[in-house]
Amino acid sequence: MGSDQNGTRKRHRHSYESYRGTNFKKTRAKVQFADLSEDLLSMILSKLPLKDAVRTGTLSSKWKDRWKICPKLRFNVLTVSNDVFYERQHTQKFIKTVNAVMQQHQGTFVEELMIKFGYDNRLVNHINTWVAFAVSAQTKSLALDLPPGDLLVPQVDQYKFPFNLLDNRSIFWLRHLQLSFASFELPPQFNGFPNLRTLDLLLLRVTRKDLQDLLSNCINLEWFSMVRCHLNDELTVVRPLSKLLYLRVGHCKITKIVLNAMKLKTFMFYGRLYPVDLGDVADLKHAFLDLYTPMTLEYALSVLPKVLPSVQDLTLRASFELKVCYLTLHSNM
Amino acid sequence: MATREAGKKMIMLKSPDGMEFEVEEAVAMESQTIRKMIEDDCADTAILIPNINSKILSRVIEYCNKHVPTTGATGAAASDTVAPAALAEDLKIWDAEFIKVNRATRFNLIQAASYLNIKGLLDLTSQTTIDTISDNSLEEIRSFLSTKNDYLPEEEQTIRRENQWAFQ
Repeated sequence: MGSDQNGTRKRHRHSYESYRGTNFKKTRAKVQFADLSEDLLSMILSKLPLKDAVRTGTLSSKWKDRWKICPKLRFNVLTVSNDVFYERQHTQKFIKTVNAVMQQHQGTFVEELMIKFGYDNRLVNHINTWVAFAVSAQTKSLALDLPPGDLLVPQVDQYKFPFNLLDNRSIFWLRHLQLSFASFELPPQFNGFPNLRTLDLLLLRVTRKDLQDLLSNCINLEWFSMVRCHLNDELTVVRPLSKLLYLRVGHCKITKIVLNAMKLKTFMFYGRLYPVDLGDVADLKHAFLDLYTPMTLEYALSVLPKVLPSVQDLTLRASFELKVCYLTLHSNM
Repeated sequence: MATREAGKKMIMLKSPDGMEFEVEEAVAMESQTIRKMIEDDCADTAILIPNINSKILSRVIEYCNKHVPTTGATGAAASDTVAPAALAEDLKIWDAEFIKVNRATRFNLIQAASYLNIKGLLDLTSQTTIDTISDNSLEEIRSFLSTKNDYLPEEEQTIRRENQWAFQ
């Protein structure tokens, strides 16, 4: 690239260089970090790792409470340790830390809460309290990622998501929900999350009926991922998921999926193939299939274009029976 | 270099200190604020950009010039043939060079990027600030942010105690 003023013309006799060179020291009073608006400050602070944001509280009295407007709280093992491996004694420290930070955020708005930590039964009541905190802080994005902490301790129960703690307001607020290594049961009168945009489920223990009811009642869902959620049954959502743009289904023991996702743009599928009916997906542009089910190349080439007619880019990984082709290739060489 | 090319719509941007910058509309529309003004037909001959002096505005334009998508009808020639990955790499290097400015200029750029709503520039300018806060000792951050420690020793101790975990 030649001149960096390409396409720009100034109607003034000052040359551009004079602004970058010695002259510019004379211009204007210096702007300092603290002169930035509170919105900008909190935007910058919210990008800091929580630990660094908290430390800024000791800079000066002006900074004492600034980090507390930080609208994103993300806690994981690195919050309490430099060592990512699970150790039992980390749990107490983790609980204490999360509680201390939340205490200081009482009454504030927290846009995002993420709890990612090795789970054991000692955490149940605490996580319930943290979910209640998210409810009162009008959290829009809630992520609970709770893999079993100590693999040597025989099977602890998974964390059961406390639907009973959500009130009508928080159900309305919630935009993003991620649940990993947990279970849930819908309460009988549950009416869905009307504004939920993304739902990310990993190793979630749930019944067919509850998952169907949940999906049927999240009418604004745009992004849905379900990985290793074993229903051992079929999943049929009758009500159209008319906003759904992205669907990922990975390694789920399911017998059949029937959805009506007419706006779907991206479909990702991993694992053993079973019947999947997504409805009339005229906008489906991107498909990624990683299949355990062996098939013939003929089948892939003849059937896939029919079931995915609008797809522009298709990635297919599968084991093909290529014996004939293999021999042909060799004889040509 | 800066001659008007046929078919390219030009926009005049004015800084409060009286400088005028003629830029391609596509370049100006890297700013969502200006884009909205143009789309709402609020921009006829010149757009006054309040609060951003000519020095900062010229740098913002420099950034937008570099980052305007080069494909399509409005694109400057050259880069159609360059692979996207190489282009991205080139931009990264350019950005790193662009942001080597003094502190005051950087904060001015943050303000300008926020007002003009240029996401890439806001991310770039705020990231260096975030890195500085993350990577330095409290004393160094204080000097970077021009803030003085006005705590009494016992006050500072109390604050540290409240959030002991962050100081371990």
